[in-house]
Amino acid sequence: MPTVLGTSLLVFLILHLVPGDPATIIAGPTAPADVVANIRAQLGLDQPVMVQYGRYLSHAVRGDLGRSILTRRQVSDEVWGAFLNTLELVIAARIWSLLVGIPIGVVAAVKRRSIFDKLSMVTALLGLSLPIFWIGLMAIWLFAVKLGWFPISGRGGPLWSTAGLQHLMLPALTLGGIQVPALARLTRSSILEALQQDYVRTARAKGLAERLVVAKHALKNAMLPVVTVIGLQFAGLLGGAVVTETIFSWPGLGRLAVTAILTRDFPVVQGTILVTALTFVTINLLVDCLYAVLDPRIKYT
Amino acid sequence: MSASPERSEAAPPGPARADAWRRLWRDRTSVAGAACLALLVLIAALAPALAPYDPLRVAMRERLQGPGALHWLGTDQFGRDILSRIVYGTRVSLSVGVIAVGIGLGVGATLGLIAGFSRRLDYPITAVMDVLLSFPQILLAIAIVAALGPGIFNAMIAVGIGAVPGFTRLTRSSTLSIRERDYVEAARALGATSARIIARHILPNAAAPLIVVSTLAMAGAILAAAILSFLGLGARPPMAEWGAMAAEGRGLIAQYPHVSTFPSLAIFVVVLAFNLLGDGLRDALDPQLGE
Repeated sequence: MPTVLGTSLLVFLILHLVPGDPATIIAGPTAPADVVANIRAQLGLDQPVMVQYGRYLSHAVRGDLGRSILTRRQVSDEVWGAFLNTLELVIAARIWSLLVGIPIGVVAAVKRRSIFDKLSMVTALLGLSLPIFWIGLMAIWLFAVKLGWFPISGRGGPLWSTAGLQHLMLPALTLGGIQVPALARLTRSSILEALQQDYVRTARAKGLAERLVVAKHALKNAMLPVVTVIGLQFAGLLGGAVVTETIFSWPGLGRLAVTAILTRDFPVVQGTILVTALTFVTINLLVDCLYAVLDPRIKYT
Repeated sequence: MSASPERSEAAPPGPARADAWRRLWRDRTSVAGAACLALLVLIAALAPALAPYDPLRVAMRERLQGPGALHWLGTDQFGRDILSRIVYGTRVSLSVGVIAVGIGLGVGATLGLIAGFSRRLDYPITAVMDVLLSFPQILLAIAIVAALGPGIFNAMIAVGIGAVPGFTRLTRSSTLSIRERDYVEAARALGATSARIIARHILPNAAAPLIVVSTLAMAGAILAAAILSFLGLGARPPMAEWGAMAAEGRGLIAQYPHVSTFPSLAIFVVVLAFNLLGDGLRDALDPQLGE
């Protein structure tokens, strides 16, 4: 909770240091001074910053994030819709990056120093250095333009419709793709470490098949750091979502935030960042709970 | 009795450093990364001599040519020579890395030392850094750029500020562990001031991880600044900056993918070189982490 409060205060203060007055933007550059002053009073922008923050907070806890200065729509509506779209994108990206990244890491660790290990680790190192926007552009070029498999951009509709799925493919592929290298590298090193532990030697000594040693003993113990990074990577995913959503015109939180920042739409910026911070806190909590499931030695009171 | 075996932590810097150099030199990939970086610095320094054309020269008749004999990497929609723009862009990207990491390291290490040394200031600094760490660096950078206004210099500052929390946390934890060592206690018992302890004992011993993280942070900073420019929040046209160049090719991706691809590959090479060198430095300076 202090994180969310602190973040909201920080964002609030940063935005109030911004040169550029939303009242002037709404009224237009040629509006007379008294009209601008009127709008400013209406929006409460003439109050001291801390008063504005207090009022904002008291409304926010009741689910009222104010209205967009530009569209006059409820910020909570705009942010909620965008949040669901981003969630869809991030979860799809997460799932496919896990399905690819973890198996690669496991196989590379088990078949250490094999061609597969070397090849996948070199690829992972190269992949870590690729700019995400180029991956997105190449995905468009290859899968949308050359092969014509998927649409170039936009959101096609609900997830269960064909158009919705088709539109989701490329952005999810791009966003998930940048997570795969880090995930594969981490899984590999984590498994390698687990394979050197005494319990693995014991398991082998009692004649357990190597497949079972890896699956039952090494994998389960190696997952703890991996789960931590999966949680941490959500920050990266939401950051990457900004670029992905921009490239693919995906109507999500990142795109909403960038547009709002560029148009100085304070309430929307605050709303998007508040929701982002809340999401992180929730994810961190879920990761902590997962720890307890994976490692019974960790107990929470 | 003469060669004391218990000098592990207070080892004199000379031989240890020589060891690190030898390990670094033996690691082929980090040598490759360092060589690549040396080459890039050279390219940046000699840009006017190396670039075949003026990076801002507009020639509408030569627009959107593919790679060829006259323009090795082709031209963009204004007929500007992409190779020349990439050569000049090396200057921008390398300065972005140096300045952003300089800010992150300077501010972050200072705050980290203060947090590690002062019990009173530890909590507030750590609390603020935890808040900053809790949301994506790129979103933080975007918010700061919005506050300062778009532009390449503001992007450097934003990326630099975004890197502060990581450096603070690292320096704080090194400081906390080093200040408990016997040699610090010995120095204090001899009457050394805090400033002397920091300068003579804490900083030299905390330097290795900071060097490693700074190198890797260069890769991250260059990438982040390129992303800001790609989003239109960093370098403004017509500046020859790689992220902005890639953005200019965005609408042309269907027919002229080379316009975005070459600048993106340039980013890739720089970032990879820093990553390789950073990995190598980590293995060389911290042998325990190696295989």
